[in-house]
Amino acid sequence: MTAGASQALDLQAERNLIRRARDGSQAAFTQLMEAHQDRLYRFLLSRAATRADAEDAMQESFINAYRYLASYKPRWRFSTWLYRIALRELGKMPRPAAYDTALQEESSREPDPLAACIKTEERENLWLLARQVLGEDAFTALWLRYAEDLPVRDVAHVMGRPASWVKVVAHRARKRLELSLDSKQRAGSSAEHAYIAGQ
Amino acid sequence: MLTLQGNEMKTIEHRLQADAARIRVQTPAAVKQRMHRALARAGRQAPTPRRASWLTPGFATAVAMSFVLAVVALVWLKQPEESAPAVPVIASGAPLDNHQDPMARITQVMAARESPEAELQAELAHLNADWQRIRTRVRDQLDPLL
Repeated sequence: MTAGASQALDLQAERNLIRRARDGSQAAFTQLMEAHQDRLYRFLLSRAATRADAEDAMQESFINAYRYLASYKPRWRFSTWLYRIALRELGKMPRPAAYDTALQEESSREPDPLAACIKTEERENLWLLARQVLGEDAFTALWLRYAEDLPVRDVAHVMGRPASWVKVVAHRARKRLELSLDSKQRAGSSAEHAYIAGQ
Repeated sequence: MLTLQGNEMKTIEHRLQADAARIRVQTPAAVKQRMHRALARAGRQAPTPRRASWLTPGFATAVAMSFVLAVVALVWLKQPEESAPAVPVIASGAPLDNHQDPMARITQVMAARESPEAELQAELAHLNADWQRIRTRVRDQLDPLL
């Protein structure tokens, strides 16, 4: 799954960069940052209320990662650790009033940052529906699991919850999405029937 | 309309993964520059990232000192007890009747037969145990009297 032009790093190269960065190499950390910034930015855009919030949270996340690199434990993926920091940074931001993209587009407010990333012809994207019908935690768990492809234990680590919680929340979120899709489908077909009957 | 039709979109999971792959985001150049500047500032403020506490010289010194203290305590505890105040020998005491000095006994055994060292060690251990038992018994008998 790509998120722009992130430079993919293999595990060994990433470990070498982390080791060098821990030894004080800012160039090594810059390389790490460049490899992860697009994915992290996408994650933050999916959660933040505004694009500016996502940018601020990303900057703070990388600065904190640089400062506290010594506390990184290699048993977790580096990206998992970054998401954990980013989620904490995002928690410091003012909470969004609502995720309802339709309402946001009608108002003069900045459009939903996630919706802005999705091309107009791809507005059937399931993640937009997920943002409307799911709570923050459920959306985040689902995003980390399926969009970022993190294992359940990593999602649990990022969110500071037990793995069982992640499984239950992800399951409920999928069910909720399935129900929402069904009801949308039913509403669509009944509108179609009404149109045909009207003719 | 959002539906779950299509062979490759059988489940919500597949649909979520596929739809996420379609969301392509690139960090804007201005944001990248801002982050580089912020990182450079952070680097100037702290030239080397903080190292883990267990890697600091202070921590190493503390570990070394703890180790030395532990060794000293171990040596002190392993030292034989101060020899008990001289106890008058009870010449006629029954427990001492059969007592023989361990070294003398070993010498005797060595002279009697050319035993392997292990056997001698076992004999020595046995004699020492006897000696300790006798000492304890004598002390127990004498303590109430003193």
